[in-house]
Amino acid sequence: MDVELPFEIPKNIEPRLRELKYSLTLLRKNSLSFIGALIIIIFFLMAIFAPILAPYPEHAGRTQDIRNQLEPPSIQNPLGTDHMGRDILSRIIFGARISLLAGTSAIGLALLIGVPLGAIAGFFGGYVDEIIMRVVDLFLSFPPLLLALAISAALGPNLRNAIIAIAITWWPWYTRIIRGDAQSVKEKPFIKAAEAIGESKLKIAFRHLLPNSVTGVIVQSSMDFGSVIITLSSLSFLGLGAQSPTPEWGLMISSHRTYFLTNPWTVIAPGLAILIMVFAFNVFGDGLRDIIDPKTRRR
Amino acid sequence: MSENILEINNLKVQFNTYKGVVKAIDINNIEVHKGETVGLVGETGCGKSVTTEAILNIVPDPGEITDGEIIFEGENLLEKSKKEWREIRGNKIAKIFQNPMSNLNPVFKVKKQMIDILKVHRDISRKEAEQRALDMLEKVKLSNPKQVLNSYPHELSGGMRQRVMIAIALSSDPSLLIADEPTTALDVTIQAQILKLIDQLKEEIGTTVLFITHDLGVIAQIAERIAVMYAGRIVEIADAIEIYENPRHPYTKGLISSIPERSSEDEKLPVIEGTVPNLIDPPEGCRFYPRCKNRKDECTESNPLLYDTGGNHKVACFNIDGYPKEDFGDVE
Amino acid sequence: MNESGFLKLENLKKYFPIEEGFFSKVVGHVKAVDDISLQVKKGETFALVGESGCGKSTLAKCILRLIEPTEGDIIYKNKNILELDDKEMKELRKELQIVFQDPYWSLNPRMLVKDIIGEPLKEHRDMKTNEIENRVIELLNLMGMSEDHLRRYPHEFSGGQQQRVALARALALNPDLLVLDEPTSALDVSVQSQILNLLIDLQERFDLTYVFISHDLGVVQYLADRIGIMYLGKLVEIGDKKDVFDDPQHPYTQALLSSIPEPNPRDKKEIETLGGSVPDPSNPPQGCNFHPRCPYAEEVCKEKPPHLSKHHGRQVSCYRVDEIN
Repeated sequence: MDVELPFEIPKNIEPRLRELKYSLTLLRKNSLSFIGALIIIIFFLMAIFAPILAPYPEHAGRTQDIRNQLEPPSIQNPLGTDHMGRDILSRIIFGARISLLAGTSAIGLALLIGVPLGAIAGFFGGYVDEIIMRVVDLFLSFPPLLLALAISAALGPNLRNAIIAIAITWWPWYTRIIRGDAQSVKEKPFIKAAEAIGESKLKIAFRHLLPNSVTGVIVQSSMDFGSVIITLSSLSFLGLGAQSPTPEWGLMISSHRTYFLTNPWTVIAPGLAILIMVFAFNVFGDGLRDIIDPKTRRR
Repeated sequence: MSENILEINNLKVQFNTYKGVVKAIDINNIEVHKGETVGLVGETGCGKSVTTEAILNIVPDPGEITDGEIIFEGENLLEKSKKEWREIRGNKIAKIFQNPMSNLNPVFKVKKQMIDILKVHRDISRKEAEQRALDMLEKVKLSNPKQVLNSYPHELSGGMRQRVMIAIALSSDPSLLIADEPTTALDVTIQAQILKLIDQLKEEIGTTVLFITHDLGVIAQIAERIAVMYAGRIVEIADAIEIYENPRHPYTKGLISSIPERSSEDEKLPVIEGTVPNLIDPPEGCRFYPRCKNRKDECTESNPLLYDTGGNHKVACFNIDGYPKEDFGDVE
Repeated sequence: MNESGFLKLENLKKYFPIEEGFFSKVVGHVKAVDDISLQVKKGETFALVGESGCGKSTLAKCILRLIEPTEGDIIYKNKNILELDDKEMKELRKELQIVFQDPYWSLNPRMLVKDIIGEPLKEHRDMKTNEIENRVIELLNLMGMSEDHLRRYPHEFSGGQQQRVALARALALNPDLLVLDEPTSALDVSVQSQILNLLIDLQERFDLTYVFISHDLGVVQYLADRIGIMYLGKLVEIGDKKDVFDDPQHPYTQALLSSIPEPNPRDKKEIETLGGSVPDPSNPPQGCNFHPRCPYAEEVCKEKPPHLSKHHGRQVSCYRVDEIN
């Protein structure tokens, strides 16, 4: 897979590109992960080009078409129509946007809170570590879904608050992971070597400790994507997340609960969409771990 | 000459990695006589551990044995069934490792582990097994066997754990004991104790020992015959004294002379230039060729086989006096 | 300047507190370094020898003030480095450097070799990027490596090469003293000889002083000028290499030397094995900490710890040294 590029790669980037190429080769070898990656890419493209791809883009919003309610799959509506007459395929496609955006925001926010706290706990140890970890323990003693539910309910039922609720539920896991990694990296000789050069503690933390402590959270967060999407859908299903007419998959399932036996496609389509997306993220995350973990990488 | 308890003939082991096929092992011929201690010495990555794995048929994925035979007590091990292997592993052939924790389960007391293992191979009651375990722990000179039995592995020191591992290995009276770097992780004073113990027990039980290490001091003290391994091949095999005083293969010569104790402080330490070859595409012909000071063009044509130069001193090098010129080994 | 006072350790102690319970109550101490005094001469190689748990690595880190000693003084070029403030200490770090045992983890896995070696230069000198790069190339060449190695990650190299990179980094600012903490223990014997030759070369060229820590007596015998034998945080014997090797005086030194397997099959010595094992450093024996394993122990040995005193041209810490030898 050697590509001739029309320009000179700056010398400092070249080794990083080499590493990237190697990662991609590894990914290709792990077929399941590769499939996961492909599915994810498809979903991303779906999300980006939703207005173009969806046959009835307006159905993602408030439009109704009472005459076409609950039509089974046909040529005009490959996945049928829902209880408001809207094209399910179009709503699924737009739903990909919602799931991906919401998932990314939730995890991003969780990382934003969790990573600095965990890094500080790991680097400094002592009382700071104790305090942070006790807070983490507190949060972790609640069952995650219940906690998300409670926060979501307290904040008010909408998608934005669901995202916030998930971020608040999720951040402690990341703190724990990066704290552990930071603690083990702290003991390594190259940190002592940096001290022996006379670098300040802050510089060591950012230049040496942090870059080497993040692999754990990177892997975990990509694996978490699946769980986050399910949680989001669950919250929407329970009425706490996305609200009508948002084409969120969980919400779509819940609004058609009563139609499951008579018009199964209204529930199966969004259900399958969730399943496929979560599956893709899970297997990709698994493969990502193998790629990033230095031990399995260097065979 | 005493009978051979183990013979390895034309063994080839390769690893099918996605980077390519690693031709890890290509052993011409080794014989281990009954009752002796044979040392297998070589540096990191030369294939010594893989060889022991091949003997026990536990070569991990993606490795596979593609050719050759391993004759143990007259029978080819590579043709054994799974059931037959259960009789052999841990019973007729036992192995001790560098890291005793790899053999001991940290969540069980020593007593349970020893009894379980003893009962796998023999039909005895728990009480009998416990007594035997105690006997074995005494045999390995542990000062408080009862207490050791009732301890968890992490409560014991490195030296004690190693003794427990030796006790377990020898509890079934194996005909062959494979010791894979058993003292590398131990302090030098503890190492001395363990080496002495292995020697004594070998005398008492009559086991044959295949001792693997990269430590040239240890092997000199414990082995009667030594096989030198380089890049997956045995390059020289002879009595210990011969190896140290009269090494014939260029690699062995380089190895022996690079021992710091053998140089006076005013001289520079002799060095073997270059690095170990990549075994994905091992060099055509002799694998030591790129680093050899005596090399000639013909060395690249094929792989030298072990040639007996007399007195049981075998060397795999074309430049040895008397190496039959017509008899070129297989071309890779 | 007094040559023998190039590096002086005086009554150096490092005790690690053992904490238990929710409020981290201190219940005892691990006496990793327990009252060590020694002197290193300029230009010499002083070897610190001992088995695991004897405190040599902790001592190495103390010398570079990577760990703050609990008590004692470290005098370098007639200055007590423990009294320096942060700014002065940072200046001093240019002169004191260290090489570690683990070649791979001595280097930041996410940094390129050129940045690893260039880091000390960036930290201390005002140099332009290409000046730094030139100096790094110079250092690589000194280690027998080439410009091709600049833009690679540590994992792309063998252990021996990684150690050379670590060495190049240590020498970037032209230090006077190099502490080497088991630099070849993780390497194969043939790679080891390359590194040892390199170390000797560099020492001659740059008039370096080495504090060489090892448990491998073969290497020490080749490389060292003077040796200090450590046991459980204390020095039991210090002397010229020849004296200590040919005629060890302390019972532990004697046991240690006789435990080393000779790489000579003709000399199959009756290994006089030392019984027992190293005691728990958080609970060392009373009196002389070697007495439980010492074949010559007597009542006096159990009461008070002995101190180093001059015997037979070196220092030995043993009450019975004259009677034993």
